[in-house]
Amino acid sequence: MITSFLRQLAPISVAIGLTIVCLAVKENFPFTHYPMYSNFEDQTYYVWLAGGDDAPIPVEKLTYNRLGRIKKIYNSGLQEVRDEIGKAEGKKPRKRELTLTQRRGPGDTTLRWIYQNSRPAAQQTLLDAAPLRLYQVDIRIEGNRVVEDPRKLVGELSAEQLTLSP
Amino acid sequence: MKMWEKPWFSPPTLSPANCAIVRLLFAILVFLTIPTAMGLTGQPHPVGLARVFDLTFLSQPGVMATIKLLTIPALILYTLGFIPIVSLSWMLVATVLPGTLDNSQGATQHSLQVISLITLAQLIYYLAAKSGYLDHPKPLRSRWGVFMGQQAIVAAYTVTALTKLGRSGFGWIADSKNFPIQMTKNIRMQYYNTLEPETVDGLWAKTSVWVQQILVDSPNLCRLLMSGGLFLELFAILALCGRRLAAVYGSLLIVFHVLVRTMTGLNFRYHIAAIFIFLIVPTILSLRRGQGQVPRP
Repeated sequence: MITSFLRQLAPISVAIGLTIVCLAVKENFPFTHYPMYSNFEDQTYYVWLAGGDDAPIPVEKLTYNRLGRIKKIYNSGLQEVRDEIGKAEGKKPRKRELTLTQRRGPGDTTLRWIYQNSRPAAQQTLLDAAPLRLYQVDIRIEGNRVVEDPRKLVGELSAEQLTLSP
Repeated sequence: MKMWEKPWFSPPTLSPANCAIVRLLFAILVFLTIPTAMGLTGQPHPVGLARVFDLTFLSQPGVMATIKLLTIPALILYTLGFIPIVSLSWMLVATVLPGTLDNSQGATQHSLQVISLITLAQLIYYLAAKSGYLDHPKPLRSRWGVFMGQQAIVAAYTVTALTKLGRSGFGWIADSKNFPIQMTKNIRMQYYNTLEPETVDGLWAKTSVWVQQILVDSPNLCRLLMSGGLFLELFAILALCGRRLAAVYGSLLIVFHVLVRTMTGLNFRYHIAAIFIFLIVPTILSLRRGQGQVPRP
């Protein structure tokens, strides 16, 4: 019976193989384990970009980079901070437990990435709007409504800092 | 016929001409996914090949345009079914290199992997067939090529479901009541991306807010909808059990993506196109007169 079962699976061995490889190697293009929405916490956040006057900058229109991607870059930075704290103190804090000071490095790195990966015309607009600011807004469910916390400043770079190499 | 004797999985019964139609559609899709230019100056979080090679040369002027231009003959050869190993190899390179650089920024995008996986699955098949590892006669290889595309899609969805269960177990279903905050996140980011009033007052935004409130008010309805998506992904293998199931499953997956688009604003157009090409088009083509009589391999 086992032999018959394996014989039945033989035609789809590529599907089985790709499934195993994707789960094993995770995020290594073209393989992926598709981790998005794989756990639902009771809190999340979004980020947005502002200039020196605190007015929002339409980042996708200006740089072709969407906030979804920018948030992931910021999130990767937070992850690195968590890893460093985990190594130093033996226990990783949750992302939501990171202080504003601990968020500042990833926030500034994200702002620099936005600047460096924009076209020259967009870079000039960003420099004109500097200091660039990255704001984070936490979201959670309370009762039967979605609540947004006040914005937090998690990154700020002047025009001079934007043009510096990391 | 006993359950164990009847084959559970087999390639779609398509004529060589109909297989060429499927390949033509996929070739167009591949062409559309290859960027004509890239503007990424670094690879701060390298993945895949970027761990070994510096791929930022792809952002130099003209490089991606040249790669895309060179892909055209490969796509023509692929569509015609000539030297598939050579054409698929180039298609794989042309999709994997920009995708790798794009995903080496610390922000993983998940829209293009399925295209490269379909290409890779077909390449693996033709290499196995050419090497004599498989004894499939040449006239039937086109069908198996289409079947490989179907398998890559099924693998992608199965992986998605297994990752959810691996990370959260079936507690994922209980926790999915928190999904509405993800909707808020996406609605807000849509606005701050462009600052266009449409992202607040438009039909999509209003529908999202309306659906979101229903889901906040009814956590169990939210769990029901989300678990429906999870089980659809988990049992994607059923799409390989014949042309009818392929079309039904393909249609369900497209409906699923349209719902996700409505709720989150996330666009899975390449997934939808790949599903249509490999799961639905073969069924439509095989329903034409005579196609159903083509013997199975």
